[in-house]
Amino acid sequence: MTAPVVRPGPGAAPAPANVYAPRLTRVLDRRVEIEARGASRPVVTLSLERGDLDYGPGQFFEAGVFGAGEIPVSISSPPGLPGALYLTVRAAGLVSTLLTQKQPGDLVSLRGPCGRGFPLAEYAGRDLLFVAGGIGLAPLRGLLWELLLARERYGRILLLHGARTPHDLLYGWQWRQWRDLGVELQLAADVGDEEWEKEDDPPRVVGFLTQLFPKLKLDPERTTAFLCGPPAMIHIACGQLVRSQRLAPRHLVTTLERHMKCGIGKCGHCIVVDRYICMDGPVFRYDELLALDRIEPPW
Amino acid sequence: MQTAELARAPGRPASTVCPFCGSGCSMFLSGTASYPRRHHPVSEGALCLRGWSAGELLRSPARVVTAYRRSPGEPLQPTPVERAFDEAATCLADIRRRHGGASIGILGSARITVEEAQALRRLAAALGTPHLDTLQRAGYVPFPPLSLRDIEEARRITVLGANLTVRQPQVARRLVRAADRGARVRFVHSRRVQLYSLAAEHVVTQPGHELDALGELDPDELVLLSSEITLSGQGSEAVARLAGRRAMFLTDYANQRGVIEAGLHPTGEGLSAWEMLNAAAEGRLKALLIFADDPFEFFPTLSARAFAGVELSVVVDAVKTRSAGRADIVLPGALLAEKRGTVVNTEGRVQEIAPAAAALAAWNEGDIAAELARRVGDGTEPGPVPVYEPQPGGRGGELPGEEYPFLAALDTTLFWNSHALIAATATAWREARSLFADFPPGCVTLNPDDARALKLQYAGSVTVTSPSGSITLPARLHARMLPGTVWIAMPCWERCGVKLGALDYDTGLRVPIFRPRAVRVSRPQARA
Amino acid sequence: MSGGPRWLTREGLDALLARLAQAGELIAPVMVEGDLLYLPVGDAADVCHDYINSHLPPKEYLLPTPELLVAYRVTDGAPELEPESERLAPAARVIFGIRSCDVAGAAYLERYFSGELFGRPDTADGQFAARREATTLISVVCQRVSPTCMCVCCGGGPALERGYDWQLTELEAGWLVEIGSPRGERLAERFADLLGEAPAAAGAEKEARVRATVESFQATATHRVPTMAATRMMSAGRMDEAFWRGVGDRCFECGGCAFVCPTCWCFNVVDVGGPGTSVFEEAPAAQRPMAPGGASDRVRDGRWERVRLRDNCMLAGFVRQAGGGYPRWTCGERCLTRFFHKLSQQFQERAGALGCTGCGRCISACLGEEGIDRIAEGMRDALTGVGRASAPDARAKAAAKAKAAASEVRP
Repeated sequence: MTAPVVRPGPGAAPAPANVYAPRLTRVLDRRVEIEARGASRPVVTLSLERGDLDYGPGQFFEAGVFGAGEIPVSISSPPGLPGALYLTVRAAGLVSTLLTQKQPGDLVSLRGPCGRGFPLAEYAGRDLLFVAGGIGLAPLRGLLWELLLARERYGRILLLHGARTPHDLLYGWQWRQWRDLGVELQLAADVGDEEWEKEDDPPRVVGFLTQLFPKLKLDPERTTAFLCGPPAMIHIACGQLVRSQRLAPRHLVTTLERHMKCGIGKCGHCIVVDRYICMDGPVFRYDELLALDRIEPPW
Repeated sequence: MQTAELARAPGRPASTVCPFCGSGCSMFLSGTASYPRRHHPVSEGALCLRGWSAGELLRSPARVVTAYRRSPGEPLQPTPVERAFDEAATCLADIRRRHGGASIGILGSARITVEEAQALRRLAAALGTPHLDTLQRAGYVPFPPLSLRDIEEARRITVLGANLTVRQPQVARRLVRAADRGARVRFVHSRRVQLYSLAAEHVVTQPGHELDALGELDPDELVLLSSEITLSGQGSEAVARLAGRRAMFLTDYANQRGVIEAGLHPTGEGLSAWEMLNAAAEGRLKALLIFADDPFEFFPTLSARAFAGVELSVVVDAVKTRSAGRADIVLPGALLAEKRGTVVNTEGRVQEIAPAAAALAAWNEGDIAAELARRVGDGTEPGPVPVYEPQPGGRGGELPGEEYPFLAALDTTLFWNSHALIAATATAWREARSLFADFPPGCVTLNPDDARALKLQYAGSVTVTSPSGSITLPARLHARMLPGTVWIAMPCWERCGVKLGALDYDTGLRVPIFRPRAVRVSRPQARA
Repeated sequence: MSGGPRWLTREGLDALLARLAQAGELIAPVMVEGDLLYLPVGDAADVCHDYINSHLPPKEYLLPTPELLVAYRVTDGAPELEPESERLAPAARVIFGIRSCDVAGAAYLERYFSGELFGRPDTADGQFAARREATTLISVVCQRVSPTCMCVCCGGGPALERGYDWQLTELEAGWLVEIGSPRGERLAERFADLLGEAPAAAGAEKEARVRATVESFQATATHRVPTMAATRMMSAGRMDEAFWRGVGDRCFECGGCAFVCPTCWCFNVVDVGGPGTSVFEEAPAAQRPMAPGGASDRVRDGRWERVRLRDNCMLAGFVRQAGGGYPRWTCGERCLTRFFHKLSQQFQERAGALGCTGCGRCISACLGEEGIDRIAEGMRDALTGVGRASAPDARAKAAAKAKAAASEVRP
């Protein structure tokens, strides 16, 4: 029995680039967005060396820690801002926890950018409504900032941000900046606390995020909504915006999340019906999701 | 997995027997991938997920490839095998001299070969100790051999307290075929097990009372029972009730039947595995030699006391078990795939295996047992192989009453057969890991209707109280569970068994059991 | 391809196999302990010619598992990738005797890993492409049908119109050789001295034999895949929850169907160190790594490999999200996913072909006796409004007959 012979294949072309090989990127800075407290998991933003990486809002990177693996992390910084790349990570599982513990100077592995992002050109001249539940604001922030860098191109920009408790609301330190740039901000917390409820600016409600919808005065013809958050929230919120605000499903845009491994449409982990979240998404329109729902719920 | 090394490996795949459950599937190993053999009466072209993952054991990071030793109070350090062996042999000889051979306890395993079990008997005799058993005897009760073909061709089958798809997939497969052919299948169980839809009849009983519900048996009716029956205290009753019947005990470990029939069970003055651990904890045993067994798996508190109570604990194993991590000396063992010998499956089918993969260390469990016998023993030979005959003993489970309207029982469905091996794979481990990752402190499982009545949420906590004490754990909900029952996940066997007063010892089978206990279930008291 | 079909005498084929074996390039069917396996063969005399198909798919030569994706070293906690040049170049090999169903599977996988499904060649799996390029498939058209064969239902055989490198048909006087790819052309140039012109009637004889095989299938098959009905029901999501619950009830979540299927490609990725490199202390439950020895608090120094392992979309852990979310909670839902990939129109359009080539291996590999045929038949019954196909006795008779046939027929 002879041993298999190792010899270059016919054609002897140079080895193609390894699509599974990540680049190693240095952590420049670290900010704790949400401290661990009770049932709240810590949320940390890492700013990474951007180098020559280019990406669109809505795309994501497979960010990883060697020995543990990689996870998809949406990009929370706008492509139009050079220098650094911001990833906001919530410590939900093993890899995400290790990422939130990275310190300036540490190395993080990145592959990407992956996925289909938001088609910015379609939003010019429109009113834009952001509905962000919990950590869902992190993927939307990159888009929000990109729009704000060219604020005059868009109409109203509204941001409705809700979370389980006031402690879990994200990027509070940036809200003033956004409002100064003309973002209409409203907040919601499922469970309030005395201090939080005493304030009224930004306007807020204790309850589910969708309770902010009825008072909105939106022009359904000119409004595009971006929704991101827990799957159940997306489904309910989209349904309410269609019914009560009369927005067309094709003007509701969301980003979906699934367990991923390769991020390039090969391993199959992120498939929903026939869509690969990593390649066909993560950005989807609500009408696309309704079509998938006939076979399997995408939320 | 050191793929580069494997890519260069030549040769054709060789076959071996799966090391996980007692089905005894035959598989080819090609590199670190396992494939089912089609031309084999057990596997017939199929494996379960554990079998498909078995190849991953060969180069697993969790393998023991060298020896380890520790200085008192220090962590384990790698050390050459010869050095560690010398130290173990010297220490053992010293203990034997000072305290006598009977101060040494030997725990064997149901995942070693028959020949290795025989080597352990020779070791025990040479050391002059009667104490030889394995925790992996776990409720085994003997019945005459019965084949998978018998199951497939049976016209009436009763399944007693077993979720076959998880415990013995090849038996389940034959049951599916029998049902497809029109056999009458009856499940006597306190849960709606998977395959329940195949059953003509489903007799629902309280856990611990399955035998009461058995009723009259047809002369040619086949009865399949699992350790769920024996670990709830009904072992000797099962032996008596099913004597002379066509019955098959579904063995939990690859060679459970083989090693027990080869004499790996307590005889004469020998302590059982459970008794050995207790004796060690009380200082009555001075040394524990453990060959491919893992007492810490289900009894971590008792095992910690046992290891603390002896002067020397030696663990020989192919994978880094929890017990290995706590031992004084660890020596490398090998996997079944790397050995030559005999394995007997749940049918009683004897399978000869030859090495299908290169071992990672020079010695295995059998070699070490033989060498220890030579070094430390006095050459005494063991007597004839004692027949395994469980005595009457054990007590059935309780019944719920007014004050304690629920029954708490051990959920063996979540038992993956050899957790230590599972944790050394990648694919099967990913599935098994979910339970630990979803419920870090452990869990109990309830019927959703009961949870609703108690206003419990999924993964919310629940308090289970018996006259002896109470525990609070996250609740997992599953519609298959009988209302009025609460199921303890096997990793919590000791902790919950002790707290609830359900951990008991079956004096007939001489194994630890979890006697179904009448309990109260409630939402935990809100803390200030 | 250049010229028409070619011809090999029987001696010519023997010589071809002998030369390939001597060059260390031959992979061919070999009997091992009663099973047929495709193995590297050093002596052409070992090649088995009397068989229908193997139980284990030769796809392991194109998609071996585990397979190294990335290797890296960690020194003082800092990782560094190993240079790509350290990876093995795939060996040039020829797989002889592969069947049409498996060739169709190879073509399916080749397209899948190229990134063409998304129009993204930049995401092509270069390793797979290199291995495919280095592997020439000499397929042999089946002229016998085994009890579990279903290629006729799925367009996967007994002969293919395209997608093969060399397709051989054994005729009365010798072997018809059809060459269907540049890889095949290169092999033909290499063995030009053995190849002749096909006789004029050879094509017609081949067609007649193929037709006879198809008729034999129609007459004797006990397993079929009613693909048209199944595709209609799958694509529109018309099978109800009760159906999938029933399918899930019989699924043992063993993973076998995907591991033996020629068109399945799902994989897992784990980071592993070398044998024996894990530590003894067990991480707290919530932090247990996905693979043994994996990092739970820090990455240990040493050499690590990120490897591809075979996976199956029907396993619960396949979709589990960190924090305990399971988008497909029940086995039945996951079964729906698998059969959607195999049978739906949506996937057919994406992948360029039906996801099932009719090899029948899932029938033998399924512990719950639920091959794709049984699933698809259930869909046809639902579509046509007929109750479950046959009463248990009738099905049992058929099963018994097939079993008897199987015990005579060699693998």
